[in-house]
Amino acid sequence: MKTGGWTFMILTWGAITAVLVGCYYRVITDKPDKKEH
Amino acid sequence: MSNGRERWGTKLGVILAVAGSAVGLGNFLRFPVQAAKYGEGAFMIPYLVALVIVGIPLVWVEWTAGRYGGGFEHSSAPGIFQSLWKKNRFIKYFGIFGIFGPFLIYMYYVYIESWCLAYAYYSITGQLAQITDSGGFVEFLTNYQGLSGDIGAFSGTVPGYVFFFITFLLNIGVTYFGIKGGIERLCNFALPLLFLFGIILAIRVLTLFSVDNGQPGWNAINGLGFLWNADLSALKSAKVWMAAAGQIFFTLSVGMGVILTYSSYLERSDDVALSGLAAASTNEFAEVVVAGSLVIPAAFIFFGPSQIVDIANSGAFNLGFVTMPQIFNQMHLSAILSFIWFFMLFLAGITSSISIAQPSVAFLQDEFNFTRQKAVKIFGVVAFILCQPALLFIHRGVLDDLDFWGANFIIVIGATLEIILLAWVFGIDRCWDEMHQGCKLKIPRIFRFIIKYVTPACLLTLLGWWMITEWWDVITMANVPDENVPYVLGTRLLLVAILVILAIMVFIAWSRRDTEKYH
Repeated sequence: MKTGGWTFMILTWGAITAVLVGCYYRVITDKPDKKEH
Repeated sequence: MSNGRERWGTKLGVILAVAGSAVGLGNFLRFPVQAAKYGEGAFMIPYLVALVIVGIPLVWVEWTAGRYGGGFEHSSAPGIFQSLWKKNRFIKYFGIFGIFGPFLIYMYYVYIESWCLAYAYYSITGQLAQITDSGGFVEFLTNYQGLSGDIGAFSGTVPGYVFFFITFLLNIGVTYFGIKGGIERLCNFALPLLFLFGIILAIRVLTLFSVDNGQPGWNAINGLGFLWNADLSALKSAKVWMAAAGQIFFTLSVGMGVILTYSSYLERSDDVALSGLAAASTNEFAEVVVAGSLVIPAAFIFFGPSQIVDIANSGAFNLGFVTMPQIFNQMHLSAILSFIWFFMLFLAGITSSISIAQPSVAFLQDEFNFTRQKAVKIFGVVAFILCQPALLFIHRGVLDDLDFWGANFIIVIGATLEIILLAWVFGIDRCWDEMHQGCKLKIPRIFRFIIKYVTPACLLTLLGWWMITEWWDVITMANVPDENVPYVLGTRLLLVAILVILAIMVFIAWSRRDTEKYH
């Protein structure tokens, strides 16, 4: 794999993983998950 | 608001359910085929651009529209469209696409899903491990589909039918238990398990350093390079851009009415921006990180760069049910790896198929006041009957035709209608405010511009491109073999009949509603 390929892959994987982890962290820690009805 | 309206149990539950809908067979079969089809490094840049300017905006728009329509006790597109444009008497009829599209996909998707369950079974029993070459796997699949008479353990379509029946009952069972008790409960364990299986397989493939094929350059790293060594000259190809945009639609489940339905069970105070992004990123992780590290590198190691394009051109079924098990058969613990692959596909399939049943069920519940149980029973009987053509006439091109209309055409039409309705009729200001109602994430303001101008322009271009390049051949069945024409024509007439029946049902539902209002 070329250097450009490594860079492109790592940046894309990093961005997707960061968004994924960030979103789930916000969802889980924002407030108690169980809603009151 | 009715107290009896179904709701999601948890915020995480709805995200996993929407992600479960998006993560399907397409992530593991269609994506690698599309990514490999246009040659080394051609696909990923258009794909990622399409994700940002078409996929993510549509995800947010659909979540917003669904939650808004849910506030008026509508969970399917006809009612949701009507609540977005109250003054227009006809807009509800355009919403039929949000029921028709997913139902059409259901007519063949459950059958393909049942192949995954069957192949998981045949992996464990060792039947797949006995096959030594691709010809053997092709023959096995053909026999399983009942297309070559009685051979060995097979007898006509009996095994295929048994697995289809089991899969169909599982689907109906989950749908029967409702949003919280069925769909959410299944997705809460199926999605994490699916990811676990996918990551196990990806690690196994990426650690295949020494395959004795006499080709030292055919390794996992260069397999990743096939995907990621960007070929900038491919950006000039309109076909690659169209394929990338099409894949984004299919993979995110946008435009088909499923997200509309799922998000309609949210409370008005629930967030949609963060949840939508969470579900989309889950899907992208499954597709780009997991499937991208698994299928293409594996095919590269065992078949090399030149054959990957041939494998991709032979289609997603060939990749999933011929090439991949053939690859696993050359590894240690082949039966277990093969089982994990097919059971992972089955989990991806069932979390998607239960979602495409829900718009029809919700339509019957909301617009005809049926109980969920009654709606599921009616849906089950009708869907079972209408699944038969794909099952019995697969060799006559019926499944391919259903797939074209459901997974390619209808979702682009649906997405175009949604974005124009939200951004232009409902209005971008109201749409933006509604999107940020209860939000836990401030959407960058550039997306306001993208939603209003860029996404609709891309969708209209996609539709226009299709009209110019494919429309005439598709309509005239130019590429359908003569012996298949009656079957494909019959399928299309059946689809038109379903559309007409849905239009009549919408008419009846609103007529009754109006009658009740004035009495």
